[in-house]
Amino acid sequence: MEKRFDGTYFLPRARFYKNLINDPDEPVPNHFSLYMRKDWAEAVDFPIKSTYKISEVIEFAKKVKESDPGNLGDKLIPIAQAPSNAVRLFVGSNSTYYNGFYKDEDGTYKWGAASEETLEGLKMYAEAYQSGLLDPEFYTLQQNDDTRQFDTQGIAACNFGEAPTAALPRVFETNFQGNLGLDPYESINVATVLGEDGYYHQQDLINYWGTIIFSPNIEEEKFERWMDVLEFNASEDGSIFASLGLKDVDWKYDSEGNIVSLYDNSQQPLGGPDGKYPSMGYTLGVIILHDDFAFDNPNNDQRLRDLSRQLYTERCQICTPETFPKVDWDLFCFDSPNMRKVQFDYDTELTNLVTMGGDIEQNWRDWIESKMPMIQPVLDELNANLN
Amino acid sequence: MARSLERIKIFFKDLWKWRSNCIMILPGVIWYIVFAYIPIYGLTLAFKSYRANLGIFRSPWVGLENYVYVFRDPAFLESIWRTLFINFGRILFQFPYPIILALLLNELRINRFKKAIQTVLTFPHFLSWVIVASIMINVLGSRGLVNSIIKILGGESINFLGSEKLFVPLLYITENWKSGGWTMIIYLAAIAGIDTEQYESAEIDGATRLQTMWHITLPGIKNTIVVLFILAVGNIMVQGFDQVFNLSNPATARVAEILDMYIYRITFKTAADFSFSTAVSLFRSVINFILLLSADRITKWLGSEGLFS
Repeated sequence: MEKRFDGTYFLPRARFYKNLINDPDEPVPNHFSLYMRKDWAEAVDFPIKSTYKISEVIEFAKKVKESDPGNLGDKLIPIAQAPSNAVRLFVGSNSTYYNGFYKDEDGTYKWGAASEETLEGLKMYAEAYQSGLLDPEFYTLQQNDDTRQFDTQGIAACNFGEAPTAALPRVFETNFQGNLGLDPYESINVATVLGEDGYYHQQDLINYWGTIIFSPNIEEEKFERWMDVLEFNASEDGSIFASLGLKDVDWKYDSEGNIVSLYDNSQQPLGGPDGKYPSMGYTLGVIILHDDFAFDNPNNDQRLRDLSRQLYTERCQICTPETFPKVDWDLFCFDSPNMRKVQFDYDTELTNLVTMGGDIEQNWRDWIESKMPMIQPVLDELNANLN
Repeated sequence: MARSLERIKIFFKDLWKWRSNCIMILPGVIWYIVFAYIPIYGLTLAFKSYRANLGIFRSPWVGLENYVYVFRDPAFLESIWRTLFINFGRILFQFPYPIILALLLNELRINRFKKAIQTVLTFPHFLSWVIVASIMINVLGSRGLVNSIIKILGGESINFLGSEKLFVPLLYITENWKSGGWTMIIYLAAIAGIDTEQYESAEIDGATRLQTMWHITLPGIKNTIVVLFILAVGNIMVQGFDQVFNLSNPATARVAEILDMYIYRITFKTAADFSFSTAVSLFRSVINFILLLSADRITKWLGSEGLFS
């Protein structure tokens, strides 16, 4: 980025630093995981694994629908998904570039939505909808409604959603155990979803989330002071302070030098809007995000930290450079009036193809055809300028 | 010069004479200047390539380039067709509803009952579309009230919320439920202004209530109907965004993409291109203006008074 923009104009806030999942020059895996009811899987004799293909997720959902191990009757939702995460699960897990452009093996730029992998994902999406595996009105669900059906209401067999390390305690303990009274470690399995080719599919998440930008008119003294704050927060002590609070009040070192929490998370979370320190994790001074410290945070159960690390690590192993590619900075930074016009709302449009009825392949072909007057000029530009 | 000064003097004299009225209309005038006239300059963005760092004034002119992109997108033309289809349907199915309500309510003779009915019909107007959409999900959802009754009666559940075929009728029904009672008040006010002697004469002449309604009440509110009709036609391209936005979902997205939804999508749901959005908005305003003038001319041609001279 520095080379491309000819200077450092912003400071990216790193997701991972001390706990890098992949090599620094390799792509960063995303947080999305499949939460599934381990107890129900055992009841229907479905294997508990850390990775499943999309078709296996559908198979699991069908088995649960048939057997209803939770005795929920017509309240049971085999796969709880709002449209956005449904598209990620069925299409995104199978088609790396389903919502953008990419450089194909033949060296030309193509539109991922028009790829056969996208169609294959859409077919599975349609199968899940038509088989009644999704909520009959899943398209009315808002973000997080689907997660609640799984971890708060306990009426869903599985849910594909955000699962960063820092969020797992909330899902497992606060929501699931708190609302359903079940042991989450016995009742939940978290897994990575793979494409039908058996590989993990994802575009590079890029190892930063948000940036810090200073005004060019900032006073020298203030800038120096901010640099000191950022330097401290990037250090070991600063990272602990920004993520755990005050030493000897919220945490301490034990005789062996390990961090021990003094804070009772069960009464009130330490950070977040309802927490003891509402701005924790979001303040300007945080240059290394809590994704990194979550692996070392003693407030998070060791089992969850190990599980999360295992999932991230596996994603980097069960992939190829094509299914989990590095970011293409030329494409990432490409801009033109034509390019700006083709930023579609893929979640809505792909979901509509599934719910409109009829043959999904024909729906998809018609949709592709309707978009080509907008897409073709962009492909022409990309192939002319970046090749 | 002396004549001009005389005119200015008369103007300020009139202004002072009518000062109470002027003070009353002042907030409205200020509102129009601030929110309707000053922002008109922003429409120049339709012919510019907007750059945030340059602002509206210094962004470069690109002529009609934005319209080349607008007409290249099939979704744009589709959204115009959908807007016209849905909103001409509103004229057919929504516009007469408050007139009918007012005529019927006017025939009620028990005053307390009449007031109660009026309150019940008017109340939904004060609910926002966000609330109405939530009510619809609870009433029309697969586990909602209507489907529960259908199932109890042995029927099959109906997919009200995700059906493309039912979406447009649902718009008309909910809009009539929500706003019919409120618009009815305007017609009731017009009915109240009809000379009661006409009704007394009709009664003496032995006219039935239906004949009275048809020959006295309806002609008595004709001018109000015409004015509201012209305004309704003039709003055809901008009507119903709140409603469509809240009642639609990904399953109905295709049939719900009216022009305002299209503008919303290209402005806020994808990478924002304000020049492109403004170009579409300007196009919409031009169509609206043409429709407004056409409605005015047609009503005049049919023998009624229009809005414009």
